[in-house]
Amino acid sequence: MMDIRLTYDLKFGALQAHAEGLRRGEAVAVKCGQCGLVSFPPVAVCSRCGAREAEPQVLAGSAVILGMTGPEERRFALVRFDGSDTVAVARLHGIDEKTTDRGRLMPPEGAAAGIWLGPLDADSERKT
Amino acid sequence: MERIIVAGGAMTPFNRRKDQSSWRDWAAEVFLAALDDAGLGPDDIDALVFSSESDFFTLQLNPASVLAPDLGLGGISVMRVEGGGASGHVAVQAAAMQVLSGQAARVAVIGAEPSASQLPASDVVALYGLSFDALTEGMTGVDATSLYALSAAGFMQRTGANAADFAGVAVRNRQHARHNPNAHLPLDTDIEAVLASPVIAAPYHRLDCSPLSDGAACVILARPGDVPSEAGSRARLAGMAMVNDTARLGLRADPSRFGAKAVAAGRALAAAGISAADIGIAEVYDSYSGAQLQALEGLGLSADVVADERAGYFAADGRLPVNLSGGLLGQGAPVGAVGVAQVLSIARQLEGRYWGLEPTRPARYGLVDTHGGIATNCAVSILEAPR
Repeated sequence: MMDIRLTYDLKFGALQAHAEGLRRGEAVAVKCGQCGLVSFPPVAVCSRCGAREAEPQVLAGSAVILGMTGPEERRFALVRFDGSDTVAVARLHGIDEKTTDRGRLMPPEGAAAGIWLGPLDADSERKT
Repeated sequence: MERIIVAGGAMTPFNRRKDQSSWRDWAAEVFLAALDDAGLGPDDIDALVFSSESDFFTLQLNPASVLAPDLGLGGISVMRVEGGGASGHVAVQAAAMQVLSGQAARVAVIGAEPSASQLPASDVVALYGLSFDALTEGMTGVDATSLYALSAAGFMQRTGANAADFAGVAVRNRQHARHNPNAHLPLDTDIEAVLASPVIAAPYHRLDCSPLSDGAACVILARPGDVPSEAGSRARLAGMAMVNDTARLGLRADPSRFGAKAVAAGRALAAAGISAADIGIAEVYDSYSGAQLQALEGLGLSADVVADERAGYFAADGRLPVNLSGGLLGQGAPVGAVGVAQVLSIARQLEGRYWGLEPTRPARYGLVDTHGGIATNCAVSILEAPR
C-alpha cells in the first residue's frame, strides 16, 4: 500500500474574481465587450462572437433551475442565473424538485467551493 | 484516406484484477500477442504510442518511456497520448498520423489503465470529476454520473426516451458481453433488474453505468506492404476525425445533444468516401446506457434513435448491430485501453476473426466512436473489411 497526500494551492488565474465572488455568495459574471453576451461562469473567449474583451458584471444571484439530479446530499443542477445568457452547473443545497424551480447563490459549505445554490430565502433561513 | 491497416492486435480481459499483476505486465502481454498476430518482432516496431487517462491511476509519469524498455523497444519514437475517455482512440489516430506522415512504418498502440484495483472506487470517481472544467464545474464536487444524467434527462425530455429504453441498452450490451471471454460484466439481466438497481443520479441506476475496470489492449498500424502478407490483408482504417465541443455543458446550445460527434462522423465518413448508411456495425461509447442513444443520434446513425431502439435496429440481428463486444457497459472500461479495444473489436468483426458475438450479416464498414468528457472530444474512425 502507498498513501500519497496532495495539498494543492490551486490558482484560479483569470477566474480569480469569480472564485472570490463565490466565497462571498456573489455571482461575478463577464459581459462580452463586443456582443454583450453575459457568461456565468466567466469565459476567456465569448462563446457567441469569439471576442476576448470582457468586463466583470455582478449578477443578482438568483437563478432558474433547468434540470436537477442526484440524492439530497449530493444534488446537482443545470441552472441559468438571472442576467446570464449561459448555463452553469451548480450544487444544490436545501432544494429539491418538490419545492421550487428557483434558487439563490450561497457561499459553499465549509471547505467546499464552486457554485452552490440554496433556496431563495436562504439568507433568512441561515439567520434563524 | 491512404491505405493503413490494423495489422495485428490483442487485448487482456477487462476486469478487476485480484492478483499482483501491474498495468505494465498487461501492456507487455498485449504487445507480444499483437506482434504475434501481425507476424512481427519487437525490432520491426519503429514507434510506440501509449495511452492512459491519468497518472493518478498508474502512478507513473512519462509512462511510455518507462514501458518501452519492458517491451524491448529502444532508439525509437515513444509518446503518451491522452484525451480523457477517448485516450485510446486518440492514440490510434495519433499512430495513424505517424504512418501517414512517413515518420514511422509500423506503430504499436498500447492502451492500459488500472482503473479498478489500484485506488478505492471513491478516489477514482473523485478524479473523474476533474475530467470536466475543474475550476468551475469540478469545484462543486460534481461527478461524471451526475453530469451525464443532466445531459440524458434533457435527451429524454426532447425525444420521449424513457428509463426502460435506457435499461434496454444496458441489458442488451451485457447480453452481448456474455459471448465475450474478455468481458467484465457478462450478465444475463433484464429491464426490471436495471430499474430496480439503486439510483445513482436520476435517470441513471447502478446498472445503467459502466464499471471501473483494469486491462490493456494493443493494435499495430502499418501500410499493407510493410508487414507480412497475411497481416497485410487485414481490416483497413478508411477514415478518421476528431472534433471538440465545449467542456462546460452549460455553454452548449443544447446540452442534451452530442453535437461534436456529428461533425467528427461527417469528416471520418467523407475521408472514407462513404455515407452513414454504409456502416454495418459500430462500437459506440456507452459509458452510460442513455449515452449510447445520444451517441447514435449524434453520429447520424439513426434519424429517430428512440424508435429505432424500440424496433431492435441496434441488436445483433438488427440492421445496425451496436456494441457486439458488450461495450463499456458489458466489456468494461479501463479508460486508456477502451478506444484501442474498440478499434480491435471492429477490425476483428470485419475480418471474421472476432472472439465474441459476430454480426449476423457480414459488414463492409464499421464505425468506432469514443469520447472524453461529456462528448467533449469526440474521435470517430471508419474501418473497412479486407477485400
